[in-house]
Amino acid sequence: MDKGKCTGCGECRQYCIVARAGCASITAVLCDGSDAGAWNCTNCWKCVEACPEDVDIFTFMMKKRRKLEPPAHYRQSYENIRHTGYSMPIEDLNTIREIWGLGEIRKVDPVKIRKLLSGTGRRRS
Amino acid sequence: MERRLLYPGCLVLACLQDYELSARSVLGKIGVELEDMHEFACCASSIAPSFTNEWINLAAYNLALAEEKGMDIVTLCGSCTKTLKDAARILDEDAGQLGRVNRRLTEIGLSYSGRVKVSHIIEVMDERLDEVVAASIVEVGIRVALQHPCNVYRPEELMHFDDPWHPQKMRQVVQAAGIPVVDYDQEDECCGSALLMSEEEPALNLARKKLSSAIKAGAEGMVVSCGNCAMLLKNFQHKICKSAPGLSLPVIFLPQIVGLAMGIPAAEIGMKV
Ligand code: SF4
Ligand code: SF4
Repeated sequence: MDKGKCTGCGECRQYCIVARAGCASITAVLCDGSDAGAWNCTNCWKCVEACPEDVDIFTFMMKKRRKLEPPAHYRQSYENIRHTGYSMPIEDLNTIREIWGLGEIRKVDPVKIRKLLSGTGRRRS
Repeated sequence: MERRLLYPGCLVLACLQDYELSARSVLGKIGVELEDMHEFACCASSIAPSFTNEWINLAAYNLALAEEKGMDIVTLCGSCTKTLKDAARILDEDAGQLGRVNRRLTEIGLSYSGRVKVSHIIEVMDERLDEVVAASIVEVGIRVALQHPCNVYRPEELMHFDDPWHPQKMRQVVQAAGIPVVDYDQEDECCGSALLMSEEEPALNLARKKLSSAIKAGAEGMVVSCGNCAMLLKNFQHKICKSAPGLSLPVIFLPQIVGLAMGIPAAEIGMKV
């Protein structure tokens, strides 16, 4: 996989909250080639902010993830999106909204979502 | 009164009704009426891009819905804000991608041409600081720490809002409402919430560090303006406190605390009295 202009300088890793918490993160892949941690990210984007080479770390991480086994919560959330259009379960949506005094919301038709995400869900690119 | 579409996102829609309710009440007080965005879908967040390139169709679908109505979008979470702005920029800069997305949108009777502005609630309130000052008539009387939502101002070259290392905009809004803000060591750190998706205990530890730093600085509440931050710091607080009982701290949404300063009744901002 193409790391683009990455020089392995280690700047991103210095700022990465996941690395500083002692977990593997995408910065390990970028800095020393170790393959663990592509799914461990808080989406804080300090790595992107700090990178002197403007590496597109987001795209790199997403492509890396598609080649690795997803953690259960990610897999479940994506399945929810594909089947309902929402990452979280929202069956009782309008009953709950009524209790809070919020107006009724029309949900998206799942057929539309199937047209937008027609792939199998594990596309490689 | 200006009208905009409220894009609540999945998390707020599913379980943070108090955030939506208070956002509607408070923005109403400063001249922005939020309309329901029927049939919106997940923005894609970092979930869909982890599996497929087609994530952009999902984000574009939401932008196209707004464009059909001729209205701009207000978001409540950092990740929705960043994802929708990212997609809008890609579609603006890459005609090939715009064409591919539109072929897909046509199948469901929509199209997108690039005329939708996406703003997070902090941006909307920041644009109307004078109105916030004028509407704030009650002394709230608690000192708060701030949890800045990373994705609203980072990456800077995409978001163009606030200082990417030491964000100030949320502080300006809270102070405009007359609420005292305390500085704390961990203020510029991410909450760590998204790490819950893969590694729960390290995520809880990040939250422990943050809450303990805020409490040490004298904070009596933590103000958040993102559903993800709320999920970890508030909804998981019982787990955070299990091994660290001293870390209990009320977590309040930005429009709730500002709503209190505006004298809005507790029921209209989703707070128990
Ligand atoms: S991604 Fe950027 S900051 Fe990280 S190692 Fe590569 S060049 Fe350095
Ligand atoms: S965005 Fe993810 S990889 Fe980058 S610094 Fe933050 S936690 Fe680390």
